[in-house]
Amino acid sequence: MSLLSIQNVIKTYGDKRAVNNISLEVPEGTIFGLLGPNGAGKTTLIRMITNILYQDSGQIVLRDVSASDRPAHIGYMPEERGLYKKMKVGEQLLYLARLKRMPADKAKQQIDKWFSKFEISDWWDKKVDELSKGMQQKVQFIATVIHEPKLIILDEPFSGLDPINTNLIKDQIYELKQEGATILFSTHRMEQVEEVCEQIALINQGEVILSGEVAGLKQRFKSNQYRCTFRLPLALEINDWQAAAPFNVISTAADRGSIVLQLHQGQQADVALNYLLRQQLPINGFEEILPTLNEIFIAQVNGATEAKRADLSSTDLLSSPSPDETNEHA
Amino acid sequence: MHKIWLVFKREYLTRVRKKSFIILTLLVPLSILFLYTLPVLVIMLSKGGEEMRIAVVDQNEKIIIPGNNSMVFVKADQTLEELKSDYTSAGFDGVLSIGKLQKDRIPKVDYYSDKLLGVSNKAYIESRLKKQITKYKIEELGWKPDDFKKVKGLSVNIKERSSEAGDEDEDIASTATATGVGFAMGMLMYFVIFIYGSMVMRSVMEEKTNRIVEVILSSVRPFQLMMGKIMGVGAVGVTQFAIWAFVFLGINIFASLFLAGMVDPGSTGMAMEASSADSQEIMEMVESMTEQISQLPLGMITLAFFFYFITGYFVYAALFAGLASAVNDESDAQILTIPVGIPVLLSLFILIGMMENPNTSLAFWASICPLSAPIIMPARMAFGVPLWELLLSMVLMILGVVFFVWLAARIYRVGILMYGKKVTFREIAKWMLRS
Repeated sequence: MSLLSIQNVIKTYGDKRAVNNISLEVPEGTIFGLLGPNGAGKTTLIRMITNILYQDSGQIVLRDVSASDRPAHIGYMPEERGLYKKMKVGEQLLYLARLKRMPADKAKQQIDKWFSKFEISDWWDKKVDELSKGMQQKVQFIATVIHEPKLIILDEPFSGLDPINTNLIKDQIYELKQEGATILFSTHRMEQVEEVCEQIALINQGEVILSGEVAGLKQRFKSNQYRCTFRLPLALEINDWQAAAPFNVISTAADRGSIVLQLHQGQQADVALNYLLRQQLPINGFEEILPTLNEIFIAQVNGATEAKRADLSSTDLLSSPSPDETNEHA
Repeated sequence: MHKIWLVFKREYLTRVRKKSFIILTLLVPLSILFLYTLPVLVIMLSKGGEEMRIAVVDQNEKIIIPGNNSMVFVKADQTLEELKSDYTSAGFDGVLSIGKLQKDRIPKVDYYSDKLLGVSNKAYIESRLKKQITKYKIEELGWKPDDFKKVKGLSVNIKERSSEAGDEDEDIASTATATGVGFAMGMLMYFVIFIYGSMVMRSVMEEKTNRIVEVILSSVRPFQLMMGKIMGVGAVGVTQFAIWAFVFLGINIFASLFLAGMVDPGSTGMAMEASSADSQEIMEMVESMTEQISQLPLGMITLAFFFYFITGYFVYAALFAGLASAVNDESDAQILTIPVGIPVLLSLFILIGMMENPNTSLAFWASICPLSAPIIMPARMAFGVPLWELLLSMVLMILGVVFFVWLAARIYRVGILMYGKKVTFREIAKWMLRS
């Protein structure tokens, strides 16, 4: 059953259509990935969900909640985030919880709960600018979830986090999900999503170009390729394989320790493995190669844009993440 | 409303609890208190020295100078020449010689010593001598002392009466007093607008550059955030003014009860060394000023001042907030706030011009336009304003608050989420029109 339902939403800035007729269903209790390159319209869509902006047309419905009450049931951590630097951590969290209509005594209990969870019980009287960046991010996360929202929206939640804090936040996301929260996770970093999300929607240029369960999508877009690894370097060259084999060998690894093969039309993996075994090769492993979301996305964007004969520049961000981003999540 | 209240509370409390607020609020009255008491203290401290004994050689044998707590005057038995050569062994610090009183001439007065008298001692002696000599001169002319007082107290005042006031006997205040009061109120309003308006501006910019604004906006509407902020900072201003008013009241009571009792008014320096006739003149001036101020429609002016204080603050704070939302860094801030500064400065120029002639049509229009009325109208009221003009101005002022808050909110909700790019006035105009 979907908690958040978005139907035919359109938002235009001047003459630029940032969100073009997007429809989405976010099921309750899932971690849902909203993916797309920078400028795809993710943040605009999120701002409409959180009532920061209003859509030009279309509907956004959070189940059992009226549109004007929506903000109280949503916890939002924007990509561009911050805190009042001169305010004490405790007062700040209390203020933010009160703005979400949580009564003061309940908010205090929540703050205590999260402080003990993150082992930061002595932070109440600390000012935010006395904290390190990593510590501030913990406070930011608590601020997002303190009012026990039904829907938690995290826009690029791991950007700027060190590996330890990344794992800490990841664990909290899983835990919140266990407790029944629904999480909408927006990012342009596909590899993060494969790990965390069950369902995704791919957005490009203001439109949903693909959506569904991660596992299902991978099955749908797989190309029947398998990798076979060997104990000893293989003497066979690509051309040495018999035409009778139920597959083509596409590539051989540089150390000759593995090959990638493509099944012939209508062939099954067990037939291929059987054939390989009959060749008495020193087989170590045999696995299916599934496409990464990145590959699926690029294929989809290319397909869509080829049809439109449009500019491809927006996909560059996906195929080659900048060096500092790679380090952050190493 | 609840959210505006939460924002208001945060804006108010974080400011009022700040060390800089407490220091500034206390520092202003303390520094004024310090300037107020410094001369008195200096005089009191400088009086700590030994009493001076001054020998008086009076050729008329009748002038008596009363001593004070820094000087004693002793009628000398020796001749002037004897004393001049050796006054120290006779136990004196100096010799005062007073020449013969003659018709149509002021007697010659000399003081001989190797030490100077000091400014305040000299003024004291001069004023006492003047008093005595005046007395003899009056006798010489054959006047009675009372006649002289009558002539001296003579003054001519033009009483200005409002022709529009229904009551024939109702006076309007003198031009000078009205000018003073009006100008003071206009200036005060000018400072209020700039000090607290720019406080609102900094607060908006802080939230934007801190990037907390998007978190906040996922809980409150931009309008609620802006209003809470404007009201919170406004309350800080009211608090500060209230504290100052109380402290000044306290200082005045303290000064009139405590200091006056402690210091002998006859010896507190040159200004107070004026002859009794002079001080009587000053007293009369003060009295007539107080009387004239009390002739101003004070209750009305106070109420109106309060009204314009609140509405004027709202108009300008809203404009500051709206423009600050478009700011990305400090250098933008200066350019973007120019349009807010222009009407304030213009109003100030009109105010200065109005001091010369309060009844121009420019003054009229400026006093009903919401951008200049807060500065101009209270000042004009000191000169007397027909009721309909006041009411018109107030109605327009309320409409002005609604309009400018609405306008600022439209700029604010777009500007506050606009990062990175330099915003032009044209774009801001577009935001206003966009639904």
